[in-house]
Amino acid sequence: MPQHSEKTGKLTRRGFLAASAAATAPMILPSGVLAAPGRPGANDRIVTGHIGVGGMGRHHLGRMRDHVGAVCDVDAKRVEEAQGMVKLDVPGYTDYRRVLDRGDIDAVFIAVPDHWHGIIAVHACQAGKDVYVEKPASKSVEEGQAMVRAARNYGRVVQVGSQGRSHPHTHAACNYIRNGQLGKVRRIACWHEENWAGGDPTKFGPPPDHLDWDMWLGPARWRPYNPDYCHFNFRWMMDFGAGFIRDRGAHVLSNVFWFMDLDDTGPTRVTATGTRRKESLWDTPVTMNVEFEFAHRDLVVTWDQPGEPAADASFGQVYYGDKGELVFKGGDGNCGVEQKALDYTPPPDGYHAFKSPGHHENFLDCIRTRNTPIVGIEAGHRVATACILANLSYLLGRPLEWDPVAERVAGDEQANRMLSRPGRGPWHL
Amino acid sequence: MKQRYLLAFGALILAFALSLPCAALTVDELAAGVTSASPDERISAINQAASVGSAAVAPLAAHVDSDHFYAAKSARKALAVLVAHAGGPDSPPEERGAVADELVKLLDTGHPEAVRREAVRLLDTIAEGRHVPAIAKLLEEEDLAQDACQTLERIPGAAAEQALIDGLYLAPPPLRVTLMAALARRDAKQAMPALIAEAKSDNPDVAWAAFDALTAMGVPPTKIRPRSRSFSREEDVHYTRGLLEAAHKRAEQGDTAAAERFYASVAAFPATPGQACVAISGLARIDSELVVQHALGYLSEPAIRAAAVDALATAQVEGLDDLLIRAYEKVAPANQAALLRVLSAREAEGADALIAQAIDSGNPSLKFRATLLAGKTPSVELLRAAVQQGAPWIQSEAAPGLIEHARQAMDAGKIEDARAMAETVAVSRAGFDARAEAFRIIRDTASAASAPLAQAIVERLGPDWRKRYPEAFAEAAGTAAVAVFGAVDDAGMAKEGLMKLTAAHLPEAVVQAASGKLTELGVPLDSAQ
Repeated sequence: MPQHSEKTGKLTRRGFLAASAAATAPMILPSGVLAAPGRPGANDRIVTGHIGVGGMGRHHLGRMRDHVGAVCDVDAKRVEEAQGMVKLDVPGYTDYRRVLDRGDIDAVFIAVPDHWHGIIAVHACQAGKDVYVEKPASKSVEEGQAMVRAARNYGRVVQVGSQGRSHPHTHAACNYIRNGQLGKVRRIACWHEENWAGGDPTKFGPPPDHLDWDMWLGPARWRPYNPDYCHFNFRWMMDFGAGFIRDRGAHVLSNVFWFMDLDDTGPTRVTATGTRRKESLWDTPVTMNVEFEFAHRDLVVTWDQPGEPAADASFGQVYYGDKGELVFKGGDGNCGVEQKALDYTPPPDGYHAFKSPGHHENFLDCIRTRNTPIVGIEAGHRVATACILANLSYLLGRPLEWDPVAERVAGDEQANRMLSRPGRGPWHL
Repeated sequence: MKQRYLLAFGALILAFALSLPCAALTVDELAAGVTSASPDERISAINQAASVGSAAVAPLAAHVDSDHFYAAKSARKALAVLVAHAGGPDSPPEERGAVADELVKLLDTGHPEAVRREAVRLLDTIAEGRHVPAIAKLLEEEDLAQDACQTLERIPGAAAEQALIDGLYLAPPPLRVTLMAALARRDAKQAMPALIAEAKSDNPDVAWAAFDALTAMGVPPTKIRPRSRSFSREEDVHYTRGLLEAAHKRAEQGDTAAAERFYASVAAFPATPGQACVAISGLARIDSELVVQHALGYLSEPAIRAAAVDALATAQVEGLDDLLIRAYEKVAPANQAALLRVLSAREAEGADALIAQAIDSGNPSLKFRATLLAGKTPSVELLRAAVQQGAPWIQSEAAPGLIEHARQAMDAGKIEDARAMAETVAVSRAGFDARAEAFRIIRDTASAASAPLAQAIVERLGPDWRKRYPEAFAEAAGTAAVAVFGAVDDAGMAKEGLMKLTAAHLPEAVVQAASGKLTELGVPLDSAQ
């Protein structure tokens, strides 16, 4: 069943084909949808291009090894390492545009730092590729809107890498909460470890020969090279990754949004505070406390770094309902929910959450069926928006009154200017 | 001992003083705080910077290019706090203006570049029209131009827009590309003449950037430059994508007449099949009558057919059902199958009658589709015919059903029937999953009769098989071939086939199965390899 019918019971235009295909034969392969530009004629081996082959990029390579048709990274060393990982003799690139030029690539995996997500994803949609983009979907609200538009206008499947929704425990929790087992949930408390320490300001120097630093920066404001800015550590810089509120927040809030049926809306007020790093290259806060109010849903979600763990896990959430509580550990690829949710079976006429066969598998299925993936770009954009607003509130030092329909901050021109992110060089949306 | 107590007490007093929320710092205290050797004092100073106001801008900026990393960083953060406070809704406009004025003073060439860069970056959320000329002046400076452009992009109003346009005449090519993108994002209509001029640039990067900016604003490529026969494939794709971008923009603006023209133009002359799909879908989204002719024309195109069916099924065009029913009588049977699906989805009057009629068709594609749409289960004969003779997409749809029958036949001991059905699927154009399943049945029902198929598998699984087949499929096919060779009477053929299946490039399961079978046959593995 197409997921978007869960709530409305209606099919979108894009969903029609998928729905009718699913109704007639589960293994249908609509040939046309697989045809990348320049490749008429069906071949149901989905060929993937992998843009960004560091940590998560390598994970995707491992999962998609039957499908890999190209690898790409601005770090040539990583390209070589990725080529060594896949058995097939795949071409390697340091410019993602060369991957998008390839007519035989059906889909791309975008596992680059956050500040590149939006641009590459939109360009990929325009080039007729389906997209798996790492979370959080976007770095600015306008980028997210552009991604939604591009996916719609170009008829592309876009899966956002908040893979927690594809975990069986998340599925169980969704059924449990949506079917009212906790009663009305008015508060959700998320705990999470602090942002990591480190960041050495003495390491400034020329970038290594194998790294195209200017391309790594891409649309972000220019800054000199320091190895502690890039690769994994991009997470700790506001310009690139912007802390656990985005890195893990995009996992946790993705689940919260799913459980609470918030995929088409957002908070109405966001208040964030944090403590600054004492001596570090990095500029994300060490601790962070965020309150997301969903006034229209009578719900408050708090995010506390470190917060009070309700279970033995570095992060998790407690759902407080008027009939009970539910503790959920993790939220990314590792999830754990209390046994009572795992034991629960929804009644036949109750809510039955879509059961993903796995995040990559769900993406591949959707490429074939044209269904909306379990974390489609519309949902991914809403989740990323909440993360973005948290950081904006922290940076501006004040609460933000958010209008989730107009997607603007009420009465705050400065904050609204920050909803877009002007690009450097040719890197614009 | 006494001294330690005194130091501790002093530190306590200092910490308390710095933590007082309402104890506004003086400018000097703030500057001293951000440059303190104590991290706690620096942080405290940053957190209180807002209370000092515009007078603190210059003193803080003086430390932005400090050799002391943390002093420079703290000064930047304190400035950011100050700007955030001044730009907030609770701050009086005069405070915002005063802070911006102070930042503008730092743009002067007399200040170090690091200070000027920080100042222009900080201005992006609080600068007003009157600050634009000072910022725009930086567009002429190579090292600061990008930052100036990015800041101008965020400043609302005509002054910033005009500065971006004027910059086009001053800036070197790399910056012109940024300026044009910024103008497009702002949807700056008055920039169009300048952008059209830029589109004629001899520098291809500039020309295509202008093209992109204009099409993003809804200008059709034909008004920018003609589509040229001398275009490379990439340029042709780029050009046609520009037309799609213009169409999307016009549709978004509610100008469906223009959007319709642009979409129809791409639908008629796409650079790629994917673009045809986008154009047809676009026509359907704006409920254009033109969707009918274009979508019908693509029903036989494998790469576009699905989008055409989807578009026809969802377009809200008056009289569309009647048009489709008339078209049904004129198109080929495989396309009739597609139209049946469209008519059924639209719940068109007369669809049920056509479905009932099509169930008796002699065309396997049409009969298969009609049977499904009527809610009936296709017979094994129909499934076999659909897999053998149906259109490729029908083969994919029918294959799982035939596989299911093959499994049932195996369970009933009808091994030959099962194998025959599996072979039908294995050699079809159905999807890899179904065909892999077919090969597993062939493996489990191995017969010498499948020897030609086994030989064909060996030929196809060359060193480059990964470029064509998923590993699971290759493994299923390879292990099926091993089983078949194990069943043939011709020892020479078996040995030759099995030896080829021990090649190192093949999936491990295939190599192991082939090696095992050779051992069973008494062939030394050394000779096999």
